[in-house]
Amino acid sequence: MVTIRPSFRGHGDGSVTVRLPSWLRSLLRGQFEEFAEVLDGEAPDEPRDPLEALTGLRAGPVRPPADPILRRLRPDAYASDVDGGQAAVDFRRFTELDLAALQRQRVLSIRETLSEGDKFDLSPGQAQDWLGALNDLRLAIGTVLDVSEEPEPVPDSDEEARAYEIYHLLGNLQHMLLVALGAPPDL
Amino acid sequence: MTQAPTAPERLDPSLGSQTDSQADEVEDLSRPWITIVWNDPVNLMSYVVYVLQKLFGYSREKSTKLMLDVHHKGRAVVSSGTREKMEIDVARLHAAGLWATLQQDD
Repeated sequence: MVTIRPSFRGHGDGSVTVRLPSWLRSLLRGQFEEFAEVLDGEAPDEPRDPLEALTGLRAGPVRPPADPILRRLRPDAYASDVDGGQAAVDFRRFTELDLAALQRQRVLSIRETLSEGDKFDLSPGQAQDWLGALNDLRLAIGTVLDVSEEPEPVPDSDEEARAYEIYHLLGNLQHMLLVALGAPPDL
Repeated sequence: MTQAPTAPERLDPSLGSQTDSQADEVEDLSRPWITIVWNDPVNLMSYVVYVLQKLFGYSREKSTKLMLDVHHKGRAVVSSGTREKMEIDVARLHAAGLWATLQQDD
């Protein structure tokens, strides 16, 4: 049996050829399937505004998400004292639906390519989807684990130990992808 | 930020192509708006450098210096200009997963 080592080979134009063993693709598929559910967790509100109902133009939410993961992925753009808090509200209202759609689309894109085989090619756009989705999932797991710049604590449970393993694995994959896209390997 | 354990173009196409076409006429020009990137313990250093190069067209050297400022000082100003332009920059940084805010310079 031939063991496949994960590899990302860049072609200089933003496209990347990826090789991943079956067990790793399966693990990533599972992780991103769960993550897709997290991203869908807070269903968009029904239209509240008569203008919205009339025009069909949807405005986004006005409050930050309750879920800490989503709050990290869709943070406030302004400090709470700018325009008495209204600046952050307005920014969220006009941008959050697009941001949420982008985050979902990247996860969809990564899940599609993960079902292809041991070796597959990413277009420049798909490579960026991978980069963004890997980063979003790391942010999500990092939020759950409450990762800090302090040395990593001894995990409380097997489940937590497993989450740290996946977190580091995602970091390794993201770093390999960055190097394939031209980033210096030593940073 | 963190280093890779062993050792963006299409972040959002709809935001990437926008330019600051409408400057705020009542804006106090002596106090421009600034975009700040804040330190966080998750994003890889190499990723932050990559994003700054990609989104702002900065050189690797400038992006690396900004990343190190974020890492060591907790924050760095990555761009400045009109409020509208800074809102676009913050939206693009959020799309890339960086923690960013805008404010009027003091």
